[in-house]
Amino acid sequence: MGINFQNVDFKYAKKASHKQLDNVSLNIDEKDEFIAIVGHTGSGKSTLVQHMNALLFANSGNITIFDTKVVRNKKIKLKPIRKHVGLVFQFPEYQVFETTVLDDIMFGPKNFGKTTDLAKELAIKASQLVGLDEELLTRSPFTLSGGQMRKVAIAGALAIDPDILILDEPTVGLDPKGKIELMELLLAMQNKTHKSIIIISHDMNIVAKYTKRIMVMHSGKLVFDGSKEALFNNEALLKEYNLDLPTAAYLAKELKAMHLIDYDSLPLTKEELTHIILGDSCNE
Amino acid sequence: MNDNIVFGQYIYKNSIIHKIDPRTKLIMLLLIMIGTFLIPSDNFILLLIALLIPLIAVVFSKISIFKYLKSLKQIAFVMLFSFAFQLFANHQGKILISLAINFSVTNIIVAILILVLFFLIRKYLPFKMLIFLGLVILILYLFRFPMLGNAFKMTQINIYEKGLIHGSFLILRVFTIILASTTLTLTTKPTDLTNAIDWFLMPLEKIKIKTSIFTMMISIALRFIPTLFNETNKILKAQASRGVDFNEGKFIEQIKQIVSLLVPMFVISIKRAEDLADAMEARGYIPGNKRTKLVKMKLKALDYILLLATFTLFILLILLRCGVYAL
Ligand SMILES: Nc1ncnc2c1ncn2[C@@H]1O[C@H](COP(=O)(O)OP(=O)(O)OP(=O)(O)O)[C@@H](O)[C@H]1O
Ligand SMILES: [Mg+2]
Repeated sequence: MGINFQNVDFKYAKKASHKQLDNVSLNIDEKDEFIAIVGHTGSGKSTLVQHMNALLFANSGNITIFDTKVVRNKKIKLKPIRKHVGLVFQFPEYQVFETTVLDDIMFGPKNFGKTTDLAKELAIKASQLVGLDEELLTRSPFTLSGGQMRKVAIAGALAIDPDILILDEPTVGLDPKGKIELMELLLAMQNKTHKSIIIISHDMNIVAKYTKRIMVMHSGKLVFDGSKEALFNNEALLKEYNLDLPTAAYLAKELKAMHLIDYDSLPLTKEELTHIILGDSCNE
Repeated sequence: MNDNIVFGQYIYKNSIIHKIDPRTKLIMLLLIMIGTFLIPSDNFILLLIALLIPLIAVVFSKISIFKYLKSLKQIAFVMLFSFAFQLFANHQGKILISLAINFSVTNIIVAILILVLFFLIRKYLPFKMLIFLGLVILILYLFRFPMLGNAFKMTQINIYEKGLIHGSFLILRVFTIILASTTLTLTTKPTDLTNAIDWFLMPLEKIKIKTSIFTMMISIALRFIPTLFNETNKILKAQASRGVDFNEGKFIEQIKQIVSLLVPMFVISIKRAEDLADAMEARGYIPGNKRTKLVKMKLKALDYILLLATFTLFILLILLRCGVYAL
């Protein structure tokens, strides 16, 4: 179950010399995973997640999603796959089209066979979850700001209620508070429903705080797949792929170099670092 | 989805044909086009000379011959049709072949069966056009024999000498023109082409028609076709992940799904257009004002030679044509 890739190769243009996915193998459980995909611009992150949503098809290798083999074939229905695995795109302006925000959020569930009433209920619930103002629901989606539009897109995916939710750079365009709120929401959702969540992000602070597992993409190859602790303690790897440390970890290293603090395991978040600095007294 | 559609057929190669000034190429194409129509329609030698020009260009362009054949393929049907039309409708000259055609029930049924079969399995066939042509000939051949059941009508089909000649001439003429224009589009960037057209329209500026605005519009349109294509692809994907499936659902639902594609497309295009207008204004573009060019078009020795040669041939042709009439 879940998502399984075996030696997947993919190229956008048949004749291109460079592969956009190069021998990628991975396995993602359907429950309780919180994965971050990182890697610099153009490394193939968006390409990878589009394969998980059966929007792109491997040139070679196997992709299995919830026991369905994904191939480009008329006989294989892709819609059930897309019901299992929801994807929020990097650029929300490519999908909003309805006359009101509410209708737009309802569009997904209706396509997957929900009645209008049920879809409306789901849409309202999803919009409350992502913290959309109720006043916005009756507005035209085209009058929204970038961050608001992103929330609409995320609500649209939540309303479909997929088993695995993938978000392509969900925090871009949100203010600091909005970022935290969104991530907290995803975390709370996972605690309640145990759905697996995959995010693509360049923001190492968010990655370090909320995710458990990290995948690093580099020119089409999956070059690292493991726990966040393993990644952030591997200096050679970070350097090789130009990855940043979370601010807290960076600060901790500097402080340790100055012999101001000491720790056994590298703190990755602000909270962990404060804990080390202040000891247990910060709990009050 | 369509992966590799690039608008404009331009293929970059470091060849002498690519280096010819677009204005020269445009003039040559124009002269070849007019020229092939001026050639009297039984003078194969002149036509072959006209054909030789694009053929030489094809050889020197370093572009694979298949690229040329591809664009010929698109018009092959029209060519065959006009050939067949000339062949059967032209009743001049000697009779070359005379066929008796029998229409009988079995004949017609067999013909229909063959065609239906062809259209059913056509997806899996290579060289569809050629196979289709073969089948048509086969069917015509079958019609020569009255099979089971009496023929209820019999006709003669005669093919005349002039029909064959004019038909072949027509095909060769269209072939020449298509080959010449394909050479132009394969070896010239769309922007260079619009620049060339811009240059030819310059005299109109004298009478206060702002042609540069129109050529700017054309180049922007050309430039944005692939971009729009990419955008459409992205929208398609975004909606597909929201459960849009263009192959299923009732009619009303399908319309809704198409709307879900069209609306973002319009919104994004309009937004792009606004952004582009702002960006152009910010960089000092004023419609109709004189602009300098990044790449100045300059005629080189080769261009003069080519122009001189084509013009000479063209004038000779016209003289000949007048001569023919005078005689
Ligand atoms: N539709 C497309 N056609 C051709 N090439 C593409 C297409 N989309 C992406 N690419 C190429 O594939 C590579 C990977 O792109 P991808 O969008 O997956 O990168 P990414 O890791 O998501 O980058 P970013 O961080 O900027 O979102 C890039 O080199 C890009 O140029
Ligand atoms: Mg991306």
